[in-house]
Amino acid sequence: MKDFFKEAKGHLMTGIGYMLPLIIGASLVVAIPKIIGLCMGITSLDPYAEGTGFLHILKLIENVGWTGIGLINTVLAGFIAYSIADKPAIGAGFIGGAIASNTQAGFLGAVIAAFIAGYTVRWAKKHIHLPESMNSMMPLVICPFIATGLVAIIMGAILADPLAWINNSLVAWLKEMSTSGTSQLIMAIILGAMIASDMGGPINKSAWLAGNALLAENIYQPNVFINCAICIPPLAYAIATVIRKNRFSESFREAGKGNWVMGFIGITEGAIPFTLVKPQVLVPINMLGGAVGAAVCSILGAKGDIPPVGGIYGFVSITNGWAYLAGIAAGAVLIAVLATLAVDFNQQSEESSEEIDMDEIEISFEDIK
Amino acid sequence: MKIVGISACPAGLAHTPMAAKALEKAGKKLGYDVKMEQQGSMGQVNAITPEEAKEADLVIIASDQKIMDMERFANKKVIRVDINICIKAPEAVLQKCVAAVNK
Repeated sequence: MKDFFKEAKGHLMTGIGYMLPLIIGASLVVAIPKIIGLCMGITSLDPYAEGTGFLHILKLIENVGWTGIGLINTVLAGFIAYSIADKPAIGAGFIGGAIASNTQAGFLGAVIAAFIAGYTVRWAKKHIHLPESMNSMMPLVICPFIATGLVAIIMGAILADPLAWINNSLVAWLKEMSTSGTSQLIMAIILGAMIASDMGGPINKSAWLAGNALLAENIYQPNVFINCAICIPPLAYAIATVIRKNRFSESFREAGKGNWVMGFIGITEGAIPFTLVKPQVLVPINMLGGAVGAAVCSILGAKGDIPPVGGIYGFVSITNGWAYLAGIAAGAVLIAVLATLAVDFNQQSEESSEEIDMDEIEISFEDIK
Repeated sequence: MKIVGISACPAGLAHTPMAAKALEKAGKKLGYDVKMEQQGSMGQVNAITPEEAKEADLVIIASDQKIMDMERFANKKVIRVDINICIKAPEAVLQKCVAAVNK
């Protein structure tokens, strides 16, 4: 069972990996017309849906972006299914994801549909044996038909209503939580600390996964905090290497330059080499910085009205983008100051590969047909 | 010993190249011929050719995700390992995999 969940998580991650470029492309295409509109003093392009002129064109472009955002469940489910059982499962996965959107079964529905599609195809490949001459029927006809049929029965008929109910309740609860002041602040602090804790490790990835899953539900606020916290640690060490040069060895100062880029595009991992110098002190400092940054973001009113784009430049996709930037700056400066006070980065890294016990490394053989 | 491998992570930005570089560097140090393909956000980078796949003694997959074109490694010894551990302890990972294959 544990193995199944581990495998399922891999499929989910693969699906999200394929979903991300879609979200980012689509969000930017929504955001840029909105910003141009804002520069012209117009807060919403909705009144220009009909008619002619420049603003109407902006609205048409924005609509294309929204079409992309509407595909999130579809693409997610399609590629989860693909991850499980390759090409024959993709179609059923796409259909399942689209049905999940239509029946309001949402992200949860999309994931369930994808697993039905994927595992059905995998089962069929293993257990249905046709005569040699008809073998080409399997991937092209039999597998897609069985998988799509099962998705239709389960997702379309049986689970549509219950899943829609669960999903809608969940979404209502999370929306409530991400709009009201105090609970939003608590959410920001928790997510910020999680993201900055192990930088790309399991804790960071669970927060990140939750944020991305919620994008499929049109809940964008948590991702504002997540994206903010992601930029903070690498940017913090980039700033630190500049403001306290003498605390860093030559190679760290060099790494600091790379961290400007990592901070800008939002890759927490950039902070790993710095943090490893003294993790027992620096991890708490990083978490504090992430939490404070996200909290500042929340208090100053950075809002996710469209899917937020990661990285510092992601502020264009955020309502009150300046608050987002202020949050990043606050968190990063805090870490830069505290970290250089507490730790001298001239010394060698404490953790080296020798310290890891061979038995801790799990490996597993895999059969390729 | 010829080792080929593929690294992949969800966003495909940071862990993927970090793990690939770490394993290649560790290979150089330990005297193994290591080539890592990266399946990240840019698609396949530094791809393993079918010839290289055929010559390899061992295939390391540093990922828990879907890997493209696994057919290349049919009938090969393929080992899956967590990508994070490859960054943290690349030499230990290589040694453990080699030991497991030689057993």
